Amino acid sequence: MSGQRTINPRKRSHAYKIRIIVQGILFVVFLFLLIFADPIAEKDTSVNVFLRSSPLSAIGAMVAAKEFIVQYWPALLLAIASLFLGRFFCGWICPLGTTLDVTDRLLTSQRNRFPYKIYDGKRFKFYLLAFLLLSLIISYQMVGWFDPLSIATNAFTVVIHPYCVSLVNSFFNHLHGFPLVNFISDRIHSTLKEILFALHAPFFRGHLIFLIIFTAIVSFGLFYKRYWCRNVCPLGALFSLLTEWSLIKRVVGENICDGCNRCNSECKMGAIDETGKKTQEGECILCMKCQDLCHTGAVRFTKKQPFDQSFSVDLTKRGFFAACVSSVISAPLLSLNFYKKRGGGDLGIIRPPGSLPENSFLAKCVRCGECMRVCKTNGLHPTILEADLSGMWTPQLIPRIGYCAYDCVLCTRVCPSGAITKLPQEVKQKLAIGKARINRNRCIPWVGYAGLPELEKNWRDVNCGVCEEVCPVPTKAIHFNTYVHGNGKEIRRVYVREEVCIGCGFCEKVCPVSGRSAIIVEGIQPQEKIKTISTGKNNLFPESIAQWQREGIPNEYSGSRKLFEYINGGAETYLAYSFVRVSNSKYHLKGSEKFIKIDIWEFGNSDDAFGIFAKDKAGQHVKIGDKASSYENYLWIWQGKYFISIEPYTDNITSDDVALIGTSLVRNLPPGNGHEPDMLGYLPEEGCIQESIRFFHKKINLDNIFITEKFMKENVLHLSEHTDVVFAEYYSGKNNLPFKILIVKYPDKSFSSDAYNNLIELKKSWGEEKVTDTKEFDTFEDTKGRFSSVSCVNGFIIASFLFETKAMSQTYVNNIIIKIQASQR
Amino acid sequence: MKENISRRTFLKTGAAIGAGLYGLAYLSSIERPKPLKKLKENALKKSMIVVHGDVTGSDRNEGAVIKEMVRRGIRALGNMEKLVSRGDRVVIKPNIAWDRKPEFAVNTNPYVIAALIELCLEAGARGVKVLDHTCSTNPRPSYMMSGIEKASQEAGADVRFINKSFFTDVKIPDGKALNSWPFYEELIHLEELDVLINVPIAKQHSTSRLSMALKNTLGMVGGNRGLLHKDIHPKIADLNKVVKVDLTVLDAFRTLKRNGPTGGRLEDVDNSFENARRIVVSTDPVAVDSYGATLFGLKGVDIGFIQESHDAGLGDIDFRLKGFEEITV
Repeated sequence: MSGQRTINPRKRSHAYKIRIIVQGILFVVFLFLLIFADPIAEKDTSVNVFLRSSPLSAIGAMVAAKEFIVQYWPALLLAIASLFLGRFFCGWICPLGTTLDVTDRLLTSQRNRFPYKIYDGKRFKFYLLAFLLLSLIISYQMVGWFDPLSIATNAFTVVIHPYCVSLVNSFFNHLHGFPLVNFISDRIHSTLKEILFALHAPFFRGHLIFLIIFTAIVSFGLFYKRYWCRNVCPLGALFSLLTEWSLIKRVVGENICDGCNRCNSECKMGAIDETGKKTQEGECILCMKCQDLCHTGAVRFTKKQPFDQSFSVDLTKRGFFAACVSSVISAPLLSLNFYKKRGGGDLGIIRPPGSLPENSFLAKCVRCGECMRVCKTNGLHPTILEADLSGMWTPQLIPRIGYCAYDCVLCTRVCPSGAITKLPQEVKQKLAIGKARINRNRCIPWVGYAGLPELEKNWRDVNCGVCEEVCPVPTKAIHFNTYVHGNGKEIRRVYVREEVCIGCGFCEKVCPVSGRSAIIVEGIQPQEKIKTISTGKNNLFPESIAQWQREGIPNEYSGSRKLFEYINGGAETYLAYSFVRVSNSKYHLKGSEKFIKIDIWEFGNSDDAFGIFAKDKAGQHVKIGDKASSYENYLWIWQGKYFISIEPYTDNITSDDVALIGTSLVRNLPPGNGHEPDMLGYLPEEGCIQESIRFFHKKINLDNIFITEKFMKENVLHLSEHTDVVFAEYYSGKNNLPFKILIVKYPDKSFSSDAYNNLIELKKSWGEEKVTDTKEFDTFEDTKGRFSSVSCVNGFIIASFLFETKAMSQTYVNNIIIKIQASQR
Repeated sequence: MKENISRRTFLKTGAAIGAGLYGLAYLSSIERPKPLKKLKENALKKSMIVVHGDVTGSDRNEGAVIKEMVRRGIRALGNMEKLVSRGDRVVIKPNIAWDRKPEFAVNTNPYVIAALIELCLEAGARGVKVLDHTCSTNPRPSYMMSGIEKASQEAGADVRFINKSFFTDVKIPDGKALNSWPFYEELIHLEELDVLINVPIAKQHSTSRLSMALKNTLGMVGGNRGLLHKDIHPKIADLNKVVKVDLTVLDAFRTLKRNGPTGGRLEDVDNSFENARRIVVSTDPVAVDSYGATLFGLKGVDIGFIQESHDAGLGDIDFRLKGFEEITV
């Protein structure tokens, strides 16, 4: 006993000092990695090292996703270290623990005066752990909500950082109003902003929710120190289970201890019993405080803990049972979602680029908020309830607040669990995370279109196009269809090229329409690469033609919807034929700046291909394919079911260049020649202007031809895809307008007689006078003394227009009638 | 902290603090209309200088050529000393709208900025600020990617980011489409700067057809800039009535022909000696734009805002009127 007094009581414990320093440094590192997350993530991927060292998240993500995630190796290391070192993580590393240490210290006097005490059984965290681990298997991954590292990251990202930034901003902006003061304050402000804070004040929706949660965690410190770590933290529970074989345990020199009880009242984990000699198993976080406090120096941390110096947390069967049952019960609760049931999993939420398909995403995402932190534009925000309860606090892009920057891949780099897979920049730029859609009831040009005639002042317009302007896709996913009104006002209506839209949301962000944007991006799941490649194999374009090299892979547009994406505006005229698909490509002459652009159109039959050729061609006849025509350095070819249009992309293309390419492309087409539509044979040859011949089916093509000054507004001729129409012009001999002849073939005679009557009525309404009334045709004379005849024979309607004499008009029509009757006999 | 305060003290101190804060807030909210910057009197020639640069030779360093082009251009116009006096505060306003590299020709070439900064500092400027209101939400990637941040800092300028709360509403005298609009204080207030140099890049623009000197003004203003795109032509002219640009240097070393203003494809960039590879220097922004339009096969009168600005008396649409000089480097 006398020896006790001879021992020199140690004033301070070195281990305690070391712990304070280590803990402080690690906390500073943690904050540093958060504040400078952007620049650090640009260089490598170690920003998330704290998040990756959580064994709880590691288990959660791995079990829920049913795969081994290699990037969680720090968690594995930590778990192994914990086997030997006990629960040191909580006392030495955990940033949430450090935060609580600080706040607990601030709350010391309040805690001492606070009269109430609450549950402190330390068992709850084990039940919570059981609940979470069980739910991994039977329902959802929920560990992210309870992982202290996720909570700490979120607390600083979502709450503390934005609040600090906006405090600083409002303070200095206020000072900016004062002369003289602002000279200095502005300088400090810009330095603070540029060095310490993000350049745009970040803010996150739902920050209030997290503020409440975080405040609750902190204010439990009014009851006990580190209440969260003692009673709730499931990661702590996990570590606690690993401490059995720890090499460092608290040992008290029974003979030396004088029972002053200082250690047990100061222990922040409440792990020491009233005698100060016994330590609760798995609760000591090795903070070394008791060693530091002990004035006798009785406390040691060594491997050999006497058996009677430890006592355990008594877990009850009932508690475990409750945890398991609640885990089972929560499964259906978490999956209750109206939208999910309707939409089949696709909720229209825009996930960050590289996100896994929704279900695997929810399984892997640990809700840490790191991706929201690094998002350069502040576009990523926590999901509240859109993805049902199980998807709470997962990231989503809210384009109206911030878009997905084209060159940025930071979120894919910092995700600790791989819910957002790593993407190289080139891949990310071609990955569609959503699709933009225009709300034509809000869009300025679409709405303004109606008011176009009423614009008074000559400088007024109703154009906008900010969305097109900002679209980061190099070839633009948004384009205009220009319409010129009669009063000379031009309007550019906006369309989205859905196939190349990557859903970045820049358009939605900048849309000047106040309130909800007129262009909305909806997420698509799974995310897919934008199509630059044709769906089928396209062999129409050889890779090289002589010295010409094909540029990339040809684009293909098949079906009516796709065609609108390609030529939007004039597409209807092509769709009036039996359109199958159009493919386009470019050729480049090696070692020069020469580019040629080619469209190859495929139609259902050769007649229709001829019809389009006849409509589009211009210039001189050339001998390529079935028929071809060339004008300067443009070339149009008709071959079988195909129509090829070749145009210069750069100015330096010669007609020889296009002829060379045209000939090779025709040779490369699938075999099958075409012949001109049979109906062309009915046209009288004498005086026919070959360039004017047209062949078509529908009214829209008729509207594009000038026949007379009068316009057929209604579809009096009953034109449809079942009718064939031939039109041609004839030299009039004198300097007048050419004569015109129109032949329509109907599938049924009843149609033709009905159309015939309509036409007669229409002509009468135009003020034309009937001058003959033979059995076979009617001839009319209009106010300018020109004659026209109409006839209805065998399901055909033959009409002539603008003839100078009655006789001539009748002769032409009569000749046609004879030809038709001869062919049908 | 032990002693309690009485109700009376609470009320008294509360009232005092409240009155103090309110007074401060009131003081800071009083509108002190600050005098606006006027065009600086200068002895520069009024003519237009077009400097062609040839970088085809393998020994020709692009950066050096561009810097030489700018220097020669300014020298032909007089010299920088004739505009920038000793102790002047200069602000250079490039186009740093997008986060793209210089070769995509959507941001002003950093060498042009660097050369101008050097010239200003050589002329004795007290400080040179470089700033732009970027189109990207976060300006830093644009500043970095464009190379302007690095080049300007190396040349000795102060690269500044826009502070969103430093925009003040300015009345636009006889505005056609706008009555007032928020402008950035550091670009218009007399107390902030003496000389303003506008350094745009020539590129195709979907809404206004071309984006050059006059259109670059949109980077000096705040507010809902998207709204400016309706009736954009008279609005650009209106904005230019407020901004007093002393010198315009148009970077047409590379021009963007298609898919502007964001570009992103090298195929769309014109590098030819015939249509690009030049720096245009003048004190008249309308003339600069009018000349710039010819690079795109257009005329000044074709572009609405150039015509509107000419009509508003901001400059002369005929760029040969006050003299025209071509130099090749």
